[in-house]
Amino acid sequence: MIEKLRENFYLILVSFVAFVLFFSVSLGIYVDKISKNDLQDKFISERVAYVYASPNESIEATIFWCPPSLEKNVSITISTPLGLLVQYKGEKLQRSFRGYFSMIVPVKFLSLDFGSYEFENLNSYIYVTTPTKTKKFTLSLGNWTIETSKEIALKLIITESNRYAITFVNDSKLVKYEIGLFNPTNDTIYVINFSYVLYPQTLETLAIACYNATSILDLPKIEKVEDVSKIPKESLVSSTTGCQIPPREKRYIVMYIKVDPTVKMLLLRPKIVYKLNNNTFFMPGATMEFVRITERCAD
Amino acid sequence: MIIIVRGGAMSHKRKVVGILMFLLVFLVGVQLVIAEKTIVEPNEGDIIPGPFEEWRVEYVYLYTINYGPWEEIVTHYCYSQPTCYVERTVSHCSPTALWGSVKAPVSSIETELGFSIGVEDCEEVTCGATCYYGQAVTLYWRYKQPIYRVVQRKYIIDSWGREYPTDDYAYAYAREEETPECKSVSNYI
Repeated sequence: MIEKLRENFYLILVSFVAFVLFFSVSLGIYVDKISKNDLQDKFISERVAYVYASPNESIEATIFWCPPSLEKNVSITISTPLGLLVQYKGEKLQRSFRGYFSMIVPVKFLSLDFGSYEFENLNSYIYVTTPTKTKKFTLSLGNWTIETSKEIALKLIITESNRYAITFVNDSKLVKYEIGLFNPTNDTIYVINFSYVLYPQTLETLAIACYNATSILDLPKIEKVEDVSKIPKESLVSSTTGCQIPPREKRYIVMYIKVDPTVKMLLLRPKIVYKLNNNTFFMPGATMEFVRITERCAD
Repeated sequence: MIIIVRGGAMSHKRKVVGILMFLLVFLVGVQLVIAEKTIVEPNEGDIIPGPFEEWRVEYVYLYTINYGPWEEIVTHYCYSQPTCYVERTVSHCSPTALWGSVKAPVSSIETELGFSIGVEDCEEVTCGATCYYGQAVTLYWRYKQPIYRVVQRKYIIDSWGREYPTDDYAYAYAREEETPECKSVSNYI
């Protein structure tokens, strides 16, 4: 009787252990399968965007693509929000930041009258074609605010700017919008503001500073939000004094923006507000894209 | 008779236990093989050598600041057809470079930027323009030079693997190969 009980106990124990092990192995195989499925095409495309432009002007937005592997003779066709088609053939695709392929998509807002417009979840379609198959992806280019104006006056010449600001850190919070402006007129121009309308809970202009430097690469090095408060007062642009650009001279203006770590991508083409002979004018700045790329794209 | 039946049941149970034991050993073996393949990363709390410092690339800014002079590629006169189209491909080769305060490993900077340092690479662009009867169109090209500012930050990693970002920053600059761009100008003959 005792022997029978002991045998049953062993049977139950061994069955239980076998079940637990079988379950864990199955779970392991399932997790492994999921991680293999992770080897899919990855895109970085969803952004918040503010664009100040004249009607029918075209803006370039970047899509970053990480394929699981790059086949020869691959061709990428991107259908833009306007129905335009952009094509990249294999040899034209170039690795960019962190190994991602960058693809430029023109975004043009046709038939917009003057005013401010908001577009939520602007979609783009990407077709990745190889000799054997075509894969279609629907990508969101994010939420866009477009402001168009007929009062655009391009009296200042943009000489330099930062096209991309890329961070590889999850929690970095400072983005710098840097631009060089040349005054070709015979009068002094005062730049009084760089403005944009975006989500104030995620983006906040900390300061706008005006520098007289020889190159955009020589501007003061400020990398942390806390350091913005250390900018000398005389360098700060206020709506009363502005950044003074004498005739045929150049100044650099830096807008320091605090971004929430939830913002993965930002496209900014701010409205430059300036004064000339006591008249106020507006013009678009250069386009800058901020991208947070936290994962590497391996071959 | 009863004894024979009990003996048969006992033998059957032993077989089941044996099979289960075999399954158990097999599954343990499979798990060991899987565990061998799994890369175990150090956890916070694991003792690792240190403390040591590490420079990492935190930001990269791209500027296009240097341009070459506009150079003429071709002038095409349109006097025999209602419209003419002219097209040329320009190829331009230049080396990539890195200078400034380089603290992070060059290989890591190359990975973050997406191109190799110290190599010569060629870029080409096809320029085209249409002109109309009685016009001449001239194609021009110039190069533009992308410059990257690489912001590196020093991190201290202690014996427990905890990372502390410091206020030490270093700035390196990288030049990517120059890319050609075109423009066209039309005039009446």
